[in-house]
Amino acid sequence: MSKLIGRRRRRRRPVERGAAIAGMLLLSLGGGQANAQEAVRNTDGSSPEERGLAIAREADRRTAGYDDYEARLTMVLVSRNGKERVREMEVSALAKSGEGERTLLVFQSPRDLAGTALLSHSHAGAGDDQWLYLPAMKRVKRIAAANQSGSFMGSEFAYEDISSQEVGSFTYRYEGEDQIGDAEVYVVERFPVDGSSGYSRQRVCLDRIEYLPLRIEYFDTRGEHVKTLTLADYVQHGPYWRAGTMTMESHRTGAVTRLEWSDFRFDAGVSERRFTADGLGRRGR
Amino acid sequence: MGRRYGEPETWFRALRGLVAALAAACLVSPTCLNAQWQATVTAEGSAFQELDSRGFAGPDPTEAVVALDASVFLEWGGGRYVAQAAPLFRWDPSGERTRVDLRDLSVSAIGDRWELSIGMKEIFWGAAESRRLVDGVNQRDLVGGGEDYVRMGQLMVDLTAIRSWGTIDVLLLPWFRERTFDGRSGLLWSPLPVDASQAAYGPGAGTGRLDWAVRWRHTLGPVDVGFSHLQGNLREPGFVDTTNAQGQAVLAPRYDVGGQTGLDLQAATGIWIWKLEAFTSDPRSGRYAAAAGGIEYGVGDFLALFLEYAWDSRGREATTSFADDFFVGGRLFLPDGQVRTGIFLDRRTWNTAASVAVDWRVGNSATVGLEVGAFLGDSSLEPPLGRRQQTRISVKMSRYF
Repeated sequence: MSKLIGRRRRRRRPVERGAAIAGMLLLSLGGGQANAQEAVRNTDGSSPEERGLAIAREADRRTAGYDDYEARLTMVLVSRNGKERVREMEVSALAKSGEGERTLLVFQSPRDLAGTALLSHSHAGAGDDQWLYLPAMKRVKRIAAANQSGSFMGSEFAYEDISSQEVGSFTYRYEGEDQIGDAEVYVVERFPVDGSSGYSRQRVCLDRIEYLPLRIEYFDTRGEHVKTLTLADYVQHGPYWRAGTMTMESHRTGAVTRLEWSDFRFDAGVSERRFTADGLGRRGR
Repeated sequence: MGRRYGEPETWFRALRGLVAALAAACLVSPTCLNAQWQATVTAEGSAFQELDSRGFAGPDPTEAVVALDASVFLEWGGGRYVAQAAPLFRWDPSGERTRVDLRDLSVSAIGDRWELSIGMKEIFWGAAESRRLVDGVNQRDLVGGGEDYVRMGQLMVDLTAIRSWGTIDVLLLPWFRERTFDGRSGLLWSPLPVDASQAAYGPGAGTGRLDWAVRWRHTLGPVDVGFSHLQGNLREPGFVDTTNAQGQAVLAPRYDVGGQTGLDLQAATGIWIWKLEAFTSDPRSGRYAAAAGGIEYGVGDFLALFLEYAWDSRGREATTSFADDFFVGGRLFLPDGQVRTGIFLDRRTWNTAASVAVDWRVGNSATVGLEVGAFLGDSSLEPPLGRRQQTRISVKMSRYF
C-alpha cells in the first residue's frame, strides 16, 4: 500500500511540486489564496495544456499543509454478484521533511489479520520501501514494493490510483466545464508520463469552488474506459477537505470497491518511531 | 553457578500485581489513551502416519489440542508507557501437550531515543523463510508445533537506544527456561524420543544464571541488517544418549554456557528480496555454524515465492534434518484466505519434505485450516531423519475475539 494516502508535507514553495493523485483522492483544501485562482481563470491566450496544468497545480497547492494525520478506513470489496468483504484498518501518515512520506496501515478486521501492519516509505524518484508486521510471530518482514498497476489488496484500486503523485507525473489538457449533480466542475484530462502506468489517460472532474475531485475515469493503454472513481461525502476537518466515500467501479468485471473514511485527526503529532521498521516490531500484538 | 532469581511463580505474581496496579491507575487517569485486547481460541486435530518404524515406539497416531492465545495492550501517558500481557493456555486431552505460559507480561517506558522494558517478553530476530536460526532470546516450545514452534516468554530487562546509526538493544536475561519436547518433536532429526525430564546442565549452566544479549539493527535504504550476540545459557541443547524409567533408549537435552553470534539481513532490489540469517555458536562440543538464505520473488501483493538454501556445519550430526537442503516455498493471499506451501529438498539424496497449508476465513472472525505434510523419497537414504518420514494431516478451527 505504498503511499496510500499520501504525503502532504508543509510546502512553502508555491506550486512546482506535487499534486497528487492522492491529492486528488484525498484532496484537501488549503487556504484558497487568490492568485492561484487567477492562474486558473487566466484563460486569455493560454492553451488547453497550460490551463489543465494550472488547475492541477491549484488542486495540488490546496492539498498541502499538514505534517501527519490518522484516520479509520473501511474497505468494502463488492463482487459482481453482490458479495461483500469488509476490511477495517487504521491509517496514519507522516510527512517527513526531506525523506518523503511514511504511511502505516494497521488491520482490525477480518479478525484473523488483526494487528497485521503495513509500513511504507515512499521516496520521490526512487522505489518504495515496505515492511509487513506479523503479530503472531512479532516479525517484521521486508516486502517487495508492488507493481504500480497491480491491484491494491485485491481491490479495484491499483497502487497507482491510491498513491500520491507529483504534478509532473502527468501532462494535462483542459477539456471544458461540466456539471455533476449540483456541482459545476472543470474537466481535465491527464496523461501519465511514466510508461509503466496501466493507463493511457484519466479524465478528472474537479469541483470549481474547492478544486475537489468528484469523478475520475480511467482509460487503459488501449484507450478503453475501464474504471470510474466517484468521490463523495466531502467533510472539512479543520482546513482540510476529505472525501468520506470513494467508490471505484470496474467496468470490466462489474466489481466495486468502496473506501469509507472516518475519524480524521490532523497534526495529532504521531510518533515518528512508529514509522520505522524497528519501531513497527515493538508495539503490541 | 550464577545467582538465583527465585521461583518463576514469584515473578509471575509480582508482575501480575504490577500490571494490575498500572491498569487500575490507567482506568482512573484521563490521559489513558489506548486499551486493546484480543483472543484466539483454536481447536486442532492431527493424524500421523510414520513410514519409518526403525526401533521407535511412536507416539499416538492422533492428537487433539485446544488453545487459547490472548493479549492485552495498554498505553497511557500519551504513548510514553505501555503494558502488555499475553497468556497462552493449551489443553491436550492426553495431558502431554497441556501447558500454560505468559508469552508477554511487561511494562515499558518509551522516550524519543530510548526505551526500557521489564518483564516477560517475546522478541523476534531473523530474516529467512525456511529456518529460524537467529531467533535466540526466547526458548522454543516445540510441543505440537515442531519447526513452527511457539516462543516461550523470557524474563528480561531490555534497554533500547535509538540512534541515527541504528538501534541498540541491551538485554539482561534472568531465569533460563528449558526447551519443551514431546514424542513428536523428537522426530525432528532423530528416531529416538527426547526425554526433557532428564535435562542436564554443563558447567556454569543453570536456570539461575543471568544471561545477557546485545543487538544492533539498522535500516539503510533498501537493506535491513542486524547483528546479535547472546552470552550465557544457550537455548539450543545438545543431546546425550540415555534410557528412561522404562528402560527405553531416549535422548536427554544438555544445556551449555557459551556465546552465540548472529547476523540477519534483508535487502530489496525491485521485486526481489534477498534474505540471509546465520549464526555461530561455541558449545562445549565445539564451535559450529548454521545459515539459511535466499530470495523472495513478489508478484503483486498476493503471491510470494521463496527459494532458499539451509546449511548446518555439523552436517549429519546436526540437531536438525535440514542441514544441507534447498527450500522452495510460496504464499498466496486470496480474498478469503491464504495458501502456504514449502518443500525441503536434500541436496544429496533429493529426499523431500513437503507441506501445504490452507487457511480459509469463515465470516469475519473465524478461520478453518487444513495442513498436510508428507515425506517423499527413499527413507533408506536418510534413516536417522525421522521427521521427514512421516505423513501428517491436521485440521484446525480458530475463533477470534
